[in-house]
Amino acid sequence: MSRTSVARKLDEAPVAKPTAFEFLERGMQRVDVEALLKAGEHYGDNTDRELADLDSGKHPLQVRTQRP
Amino acid sequence: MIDFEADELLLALAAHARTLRTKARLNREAMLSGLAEARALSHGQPLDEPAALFFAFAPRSSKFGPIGRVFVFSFAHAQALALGYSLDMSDVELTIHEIRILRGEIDFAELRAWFASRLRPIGEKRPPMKRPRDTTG
Repeated sequence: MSRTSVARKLDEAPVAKPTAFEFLERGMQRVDVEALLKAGEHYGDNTDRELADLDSGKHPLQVRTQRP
Repeated sequence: MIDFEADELLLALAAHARTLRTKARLNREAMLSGLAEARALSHGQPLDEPAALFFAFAPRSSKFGPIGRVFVFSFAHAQALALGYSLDMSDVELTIHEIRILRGEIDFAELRAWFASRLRPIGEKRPPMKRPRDTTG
């Protein structure tokens, strides 16, 4: 089979649908997983405390961002 | 709307939790109701789906256990990527919006407008900042 016909077959092949695992994984690559886990564990539903820490720059997401 | 069923997402979430050495609560009811709400909010408009997912799942985040917040943030990003867009927003900004949703301080129309202003086709660079005019002479 020539290179051209191989390339044509590849073009015509259906694009494989990502699995749900791969789908979520792509999203996880856009967030700071470790800091979000830490924040969830630390604040729970206490939004007042979380907002106060965001205001003062002490939130785990901000602390990680400020690291050299 | 999103191509996956609730059970597929729950299994994927459990697998990610194992990889991250944390826990996921497999709350099928929360997943089904979150997906239904997101579908209703987006009214079949694909570009509204990331915002709709975030708005619907932010109040349900704790229903999925310690990985809940990672899931909700990642879900919105993943759906944007599946549509060929990236969300130009930080985790801190998303956290503030999540808190505003939890407190009832933002409605879907406002969140949708904010997401729409941050959607970028994949590969597009952020517009350069304008240099402030030098007025010192």
